[in-house]
Amino acid sequence: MTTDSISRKKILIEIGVFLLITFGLMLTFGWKAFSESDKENVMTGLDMLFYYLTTFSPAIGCIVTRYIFREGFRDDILFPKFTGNFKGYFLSIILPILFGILNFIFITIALGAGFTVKAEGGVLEVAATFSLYSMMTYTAAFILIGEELGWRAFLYDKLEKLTGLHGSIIIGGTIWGLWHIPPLITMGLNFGKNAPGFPITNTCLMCIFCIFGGAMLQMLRRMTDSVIAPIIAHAVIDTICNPIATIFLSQKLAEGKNFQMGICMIISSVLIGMPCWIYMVRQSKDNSKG
Amino acid sequence: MRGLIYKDLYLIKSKVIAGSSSVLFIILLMYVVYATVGGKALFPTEMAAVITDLMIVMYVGALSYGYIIKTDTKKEWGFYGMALPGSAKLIVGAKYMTVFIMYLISYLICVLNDLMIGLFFGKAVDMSLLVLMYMLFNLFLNAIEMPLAFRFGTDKAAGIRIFITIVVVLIISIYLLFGNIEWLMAEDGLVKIIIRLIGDNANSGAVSDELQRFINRLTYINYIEMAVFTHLMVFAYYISYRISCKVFKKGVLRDDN
Repeated sequence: MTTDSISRKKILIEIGVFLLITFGLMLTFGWKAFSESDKENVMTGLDMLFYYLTTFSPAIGCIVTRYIFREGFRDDILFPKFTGNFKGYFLSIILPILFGILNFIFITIALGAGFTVKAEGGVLEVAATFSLYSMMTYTAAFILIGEELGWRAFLYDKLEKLTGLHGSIIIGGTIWGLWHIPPLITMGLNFGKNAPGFPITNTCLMCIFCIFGGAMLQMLRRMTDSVIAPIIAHAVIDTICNPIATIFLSQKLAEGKNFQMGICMIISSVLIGMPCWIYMVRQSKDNSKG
Repeated sequence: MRGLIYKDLYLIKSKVIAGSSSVLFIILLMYVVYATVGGKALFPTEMAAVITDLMIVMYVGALSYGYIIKTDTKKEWGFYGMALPGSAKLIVGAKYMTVFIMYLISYLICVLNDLMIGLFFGKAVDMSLLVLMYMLFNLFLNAIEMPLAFRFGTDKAAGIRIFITIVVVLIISIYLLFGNIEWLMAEDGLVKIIIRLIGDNANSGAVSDELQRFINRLTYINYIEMAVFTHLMVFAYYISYRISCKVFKKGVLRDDN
C-alpha cells in the first residue's frame, strides 16, 4: 500500500465517521426538532434541545472526528483573517444580498406579482422588519457556526483532497442537501408540501440548491482562508434575503406557491453559484501554474 | 495572533474560572429550585432566563474584560510587542479578539442556560436577541475604554470612564428633571410597567401580558433605531480597534509606564 492510498483511506474513514455522527443526530432528532409549529403545538424545552442538537450536528461531527483522529484545529480555520481579505468579507455580504434581490425579481416575474408593499404600515413597516431581521443576523450567525463548521471547515476540504474541486462541490452539496431531509418532509422547507413528487422532488431540488449555494460559500471560505466569511454569508441569506419575498409579496398571491418560489430560489442560486464555481476553477489553475 | 490570544487567556484563566464558578454555582442552585418547582414557578420562564443570562454576561464577559485589559501592561512588553512582525496591530488585535471570545463564550453559556430553563419549565425560551443587545452594549462600553487604556494606562482609563459616567448621569438627570419623560412616567410608561410587574409578580400570566403589551407599543421607528444602534455598536468596536492601533506606540512610550 502506498502512502497516498493510506492517506486516502484515512480521509474516507474520517468522512465516514463525520457523516455517521452528523446524519445520525439529524435523522434521530430532526423529525421532532423541525415539526410544523402552530398555535396548538407550542415548542417545548425538549424540542429546543433537539433543534440545537440537529443544527449543531455538523459541528459536533467535525469536532468529534477531529478529536478522534487527533487533528485539532491547527489549520487556523476558526480565526477571521481580515487583513488582506477584505474582498472576501465584502462579498460575504454582497453576494447573499444579490441572491436575495435576484430571488425576489424571479418570484415577482413568476407569480406576476409586481412590486407591491404588502405591509399595512407601508415603507416604514418594511424598514422596521428589515431592521429586526438585520439584528437577527448576529444570532443566526451563532447558530450557523453549527452548520459551517461541519460543511465548509471539514467536509468540503476533505472531499477536495479525495475528488478534486468539482467533486467536493457536487458531492458536498448533495450531502448537505440530503442532510435537510427531516425539515424538507416535516415542514416542507423551501418547496412546500404540495410540490409534485413530494418529497423526492424536494430532496433533489434541495441538493441542487445546496450544490450552487455551497459553491458560493466555499469560494468565500477559500478567499478568506477562514470559516467566518461563509458563516456571515449564510446568516445574511437566512435572515435578510429569504424574508424579502415574504415582506413584499401579498400572502394571497404567495399562498400555496412555495414550489414555484423554491424554483426561483434555485435559479438565483445557480446564477450566483456558477460564477463562484468558475472563479474557484480559475484560481486552482493559477495556483497549480504558480 | 493565535499565540497571543492563548497567552491572554492563560493569564486570566484562574481569575475567570474563580469568578465564573461563583456565578455558575448560584445558577446551579437556581436550577435546583426550578427543577423542584418546575411549571409551578413564581415567575415566567422568560424572566427566569433573563435574570441568569444577564448574570452570565456580566460575570463571564464583562468581568473578563477587566482582567484581559490589565494583563501585560508593562513598558518592556510593549517594546517586545512592537518588535514582533505584526507590530502593534497584532498585540492590540489579540486583546480585542480575546475580549470578543470571552463575550462569545458568555453568549454560548446563555444559550445553554436558556435550553436548561426551557427543559425545567417545559416551554422553549429564547432570549438570544436580548442577550445579544446587552452583550453588544457591554462591548460598546469596552470599545470606549480600550483606546484610553492603551494610550493612558488602565488606571487612568478607569478614571476617565468614571468621569464620563458622571457626565452621562448628570445629562440624564437634567433630562429627567426638565425634559419630556412621558414615555417613562405616564400610565403606560416604562416605570409604571415595571412597578406593575413587581407588584403582580405572583401572576406569571399577567407579567407575560404586560411584557407583550410593552413590545406591541414599540413603534416601527423604535425597531429601526434599535437596529441602527446595534450595528453602530459593532462598528464602534472596529473603530476602537483602529484607534487603539494608532495610539499603542504613544502609550508604550508614555512616562508613567
